[in-house]
Formats: sequence, structure tokens, C-alpha cells
Amino acid sequence: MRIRKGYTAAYLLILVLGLSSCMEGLPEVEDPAPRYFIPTLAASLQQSTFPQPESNLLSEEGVLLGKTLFYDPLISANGQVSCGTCHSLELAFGDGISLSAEGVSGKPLHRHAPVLFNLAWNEGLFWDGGSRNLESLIFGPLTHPDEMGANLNETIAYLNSSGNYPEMFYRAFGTDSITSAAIGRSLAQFVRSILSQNSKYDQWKSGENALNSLELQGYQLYQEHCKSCHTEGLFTDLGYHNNGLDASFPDPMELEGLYLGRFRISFADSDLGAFKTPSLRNIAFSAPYMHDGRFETLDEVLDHYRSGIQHSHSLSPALRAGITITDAEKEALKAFLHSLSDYTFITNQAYLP
Amino acid sequence: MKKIVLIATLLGSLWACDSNVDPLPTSASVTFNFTHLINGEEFDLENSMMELPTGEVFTPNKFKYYISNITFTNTSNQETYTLEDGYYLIDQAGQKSFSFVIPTAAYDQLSFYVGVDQERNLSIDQVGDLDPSNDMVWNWNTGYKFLVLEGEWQYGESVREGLIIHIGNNDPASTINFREITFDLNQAAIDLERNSEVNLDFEAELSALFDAPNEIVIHELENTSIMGGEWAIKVAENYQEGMFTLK
Repeated sequence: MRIRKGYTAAYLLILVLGLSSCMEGLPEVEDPAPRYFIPTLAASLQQSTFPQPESNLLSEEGVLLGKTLFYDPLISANGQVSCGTCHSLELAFGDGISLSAEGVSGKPLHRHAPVLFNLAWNEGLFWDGGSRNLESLIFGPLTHPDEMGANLNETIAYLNSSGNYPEMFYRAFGTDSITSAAIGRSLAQFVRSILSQNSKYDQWKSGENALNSLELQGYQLYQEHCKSCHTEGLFTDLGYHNNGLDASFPDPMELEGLYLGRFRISFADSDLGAFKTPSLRNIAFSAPYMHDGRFETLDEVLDHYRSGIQHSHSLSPALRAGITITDAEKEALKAFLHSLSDYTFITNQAYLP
Repeated sequence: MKKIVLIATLLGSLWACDSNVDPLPTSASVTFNFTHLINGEEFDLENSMMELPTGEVFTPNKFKYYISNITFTNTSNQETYTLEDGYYLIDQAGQKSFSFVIPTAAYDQLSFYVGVDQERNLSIDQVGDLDPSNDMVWNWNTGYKFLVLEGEWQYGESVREGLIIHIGNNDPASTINFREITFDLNQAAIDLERNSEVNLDFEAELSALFDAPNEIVIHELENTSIMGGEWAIKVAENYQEGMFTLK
């Protein structure tokens, strides 16, 4: 038995050698399998896993395709608006405008363009969490008539006939059929891959840097007054709260419940006027603030919490009495918030075309 | 050798049986055809003027909906067959029929849902009739519109106004309008045991959306854009109750 096995192995070896010598001279066939990867996470994000859907795991090829689409204005209705138009890396992928009118229709939007980073952990996207995952979210801005206004069938025709796209789709998804789903998935991969985790705060947490005394005082104040919603790590609880911006919530027919906040998704009374807690990370880059960009500066934001809270039945219980801090404490808090600025993130060439 | 002879004999005898009796088909190709009516009349989008039960003159310009989770049941032995991955968009301006193959059996009941089940409604990066390019996804909420009716209405001398009905939600539980509709196949004389090709002709009567069990008087609505909440539930109850007929 042993002897027979030995012979078989030798025979196979000869066959393989013979084949490989035959194959010399043929063009090299590259392995088309996507190279999957999981990003390395800083401990200071306080996340043990990187969540991603089984049906759309991050790959080098998927992220590259998503990034290429992200910066391509030709996928929009008029060929002039890309995702990058309203999501600029130097502004933490925000746009610095309260309500942008940069879309294909030129009409101002009703909500402020959100910053994009550390989104893998979000279970709801948009300010009211209406979108359940990045794969689905993409079709919102891509097709909305006041944003990119794309007709998906025309976008697919453009991609099929243009440059490297068919091959990029093939490399990312193993099929040369370009579908709406594949567009959504590749853009979702790029956006999910965007991480910000190297601010002064992160460096302090890992022992590479130190916070000064004002920043440390601000950190204490943050823990006392902000942490219940802006949970340390991601600096958001990923939840929805009515933070007292308005006392009433009009519901004009044409806006489909836009001012009702999370209520229009959950139909829960407690969610009336509630919007998603934004991360405090990169807050110095992401002005103006709130879901409608109504506050221009961090001072205005902090003054809102000190003295501007509007009362209604759904107001977050934590804000009933506002946040009581002195002017000096406000400066300390702002110093800490600036330590959450991640300069390596906003200059990361990997996120640029 | 003996075995081979035995098998040959057996096969021969099977062949003999075969030629004597017409066997029952093991599978059937089933085609669903949908015809859309207003007050019993077929209509064209954009250029039909129809009177609704509550007196409004209505011109529809868009009518489409999803059919899914098609199940055939033999109620006497509870044998069922549910079509996997069967999501079909029916559009007055496009596809109004579709076909699929099922194993034959003495089914006497058919059910389908209008809409998309919760599991498939959680993400829209899908293909086929669920492709998001089909103008049936919400752009501020993840999921599909189950049924869309759009048009213009006028009541007496009133100004022509838009009517927009977008129904589609299955979360939270209080807002579910993913609705099952059941048909009696015996009553419609549909035999899925003996036929290998079966056509099921359905009629969908639009006026039933406003009729029963909930009367919806368009000219009395505060908002003629129905996209969720209690009015969407009422419309869903109406399409579950009386919109579809199996001819």
C-alpha cells in the first residue's frame, strides 16, 4: 500500500512538472479573487470588531472601485456632481455649508451634509437613521433629484462604456455585469473603510502624546456633561435624541415628515424631533453644526446647551436642566474637543482619488 | 448479468405502464396575468378620466406594486409550496405577467403578498425586480414601496390636485402594510394537479383602494399624499380586502 502511494505521488509530481513546463510562455493569468482585508482599529475607538455585512466584505478592489465612483461626477445626472462635491476630506468629509445647494438641481437641501468616518458601527444612517446600511444609503444621495439625480440605468450604461470600470467591477465582484447593487456595494465599501482614529486624544490614550492641563480639565467636563450621549470611543451613542433645538415640529405635506426627526422612521412619540447623535471627533473641522447646520460655531452649540434648550414632551431627559458650565469651563471643554481633531485623517492620501 | 436482465425487464414493464395511462405531470408552468381596472374598465395611464366611488374625477399616471411570497396549499393535507425568491413588480406601464414552475399537487388555495417581506426589505442592494433602479425604493428610508398609485383628481369645480399613494412599511409592527391575499383555486376551477401549463388571470380594481373596509374620501383628506401612518394602513387594508379577483 505504502509503495503504491509513493508511486502515485511521484507520478503526479511528474505530471505537474510537465504541465508547468508547458505553461511557460503563456501570458500570466492574474488571480481575479478580491483581496479581502479588515482594517486595524485603534484601542481608543473602543470597538472590538469591525462590523460589515457578510454579502459585502471589504476588499482592496472593492474599496478602490468605490473611491473611484465617489469622486466621479459623471455618475450624476448633469455630469458635474460627485459624492466628493459635498463630502470633502479636509472637512472630515463634510462640506462646511449649512444646507448645500450644490446638487444637480441647485435647490438647497433640507438637511446638513454629514461628515463621513467611523460609519461601520452605525446601524442607522441619515440624521434620522432611516437608512439601515451603507449599501442602501448610497442610492439616496445618488438618485435624489436635488443631490446627484442619477438615473441608475443611465449610470450603468455610462459605467459599462467607460474606461476601466468594467474591469474594476470584475476585479471587485468577480462578474462583469455592472448592477445597481454592485455600485451601492462598492461605494459602501469605500465609505465603510474611512476611519478616523489618530487624534491627539487617541495618541494620549495610547501613551504617545499628552493632553495639556486645559484639555484635561475639558476631558473631565466632557465626562461630566457630554458623555451620556457622546459615548467615549466613537464619541456618539449612535442613538437619537431631541436635544431641544425646537419646541414644535411642523409637518408640511411636501416634506414627508422631515421636521419630525426620528419619529418619521419609528413612529414613536419619544422620537419626535430626535436626530442622531453626531460624533464629537473632528468637530473642529465639521462646522456648521446640527442636522440643519443652524449653528456656525462651537460657541453657539455650547451656548445652546447652556441656555437655549427648547422644551417639548420628547426632549431628552438629560437636557431638561441644560448644561451648566462657566465661561472658563466652556473654554476648557472646547480645548478638549479640539484634541479630537485628527490631522492624519484629513490629509490621508489613501482617501483621495 | 442476471441483474441487468432484471433491470431491463423492470424498465420494460415501466415503459408498458407509461404507454397505457396518461401520467400526471410532475411540474406545472404557472403564469400570473394582471389586468388593472377602474370601475370594471381597463384604462390608459395619463389620458383616462375615471370617476371614483366618492365622486372625484381621477386620472392615474402611475400604478405599480410588488407581488411576493406566492404559496400554494392543499388545505386537506396542509401540503404547501412557497415560491423561493419570487419578487415580481407589476406595472401598469410595464410588466403585467410573470411565470414560474412549481411541483404539481392538488392545491386548492393560493396566497400571495402585496409588498416585500421584512427580511428582504432590510436592504436594497438587490437585483431583478428588486433592483433599486425600478423607482420603487424610498430615498430617505431603507426599503421598498409595496404599492404606488399616483395621479390627479378633481372634485366638482375644485382645482386639479395630485394624489400620491406610496404604501410600504413592515417595521415597526404598528405600521405593517405587507398584506396577504388568499384565493380559492377550486372556485376558480384551477387544477394544478393535472395540468402542466396553467394561467391565472387576476383583475385588480383600483377603486377598491378607496372603498372597503375603509372608505377614503379623497376630497376630504387633509393631505392627499399618503405615505405612511394611519391612512397608509387603511389603504393596505383595502388592497388586502377587495382589490384582487381571480377570474
